[in-house]
Amino acid sequence: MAKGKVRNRIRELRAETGGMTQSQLAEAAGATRQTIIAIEQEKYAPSLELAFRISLAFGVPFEAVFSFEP
Amino acid sequence: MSWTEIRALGSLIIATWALWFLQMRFLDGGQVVDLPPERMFSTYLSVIVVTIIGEILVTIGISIVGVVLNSGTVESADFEDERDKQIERRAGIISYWFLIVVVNILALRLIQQEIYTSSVFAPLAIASTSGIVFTLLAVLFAAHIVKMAAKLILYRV
Repeated sequence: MAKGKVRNRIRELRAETGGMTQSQLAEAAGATRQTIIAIEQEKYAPSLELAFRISLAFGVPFEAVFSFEP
Repeated sequence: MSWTEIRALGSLIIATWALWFLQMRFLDGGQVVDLPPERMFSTYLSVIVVTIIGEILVTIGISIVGVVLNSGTVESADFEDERDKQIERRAGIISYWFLIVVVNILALRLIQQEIYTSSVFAPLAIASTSGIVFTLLAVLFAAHIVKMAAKLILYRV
């Protein structure tokens, strides 16, 4: 089975929400800053729970942050 | 570099020192020398005590620095999220396979030198008590080094 890629708009959303820092997002989502960096650079696909936590931190629906590229 | 990476680096340095110390005591010209039991025990005790104290100091040091630098944030020095746990698990698997490969190579090499008396390789003389103690400890520390190195690499890829 071909591996898909989880895309995200974290960088844009951080800029849109008044320049939220990676540390602030990490704090809000309950992750480390390194994990946020890895997710933002699409080197790491978060679990469903963390993905929802990130969406909640931005106050937007899940699909506004993450998308799947088959 | 995250706190988890710093801790892994500290542990890697301690294990590397332990392996170096063991080979200094047990090896001479690449061959295991027969150590008197008292010297073997003092070597074993030195390695175990220093590595335990070293690990404790690294953990305490990182916790103290972490509390000072990250006070009031979720990212304390002890905090591990899902990616940290995933990397820990993957590094553990790599280390496990390293252990399996090394033990099998040693076993095959010992069997092979029993079958064929002449070999292009230097004889593996680890049948003595010194040889067994050195091999067990060296493989253990080498596996730990592999695990810590794998962790450091996995954090960067």
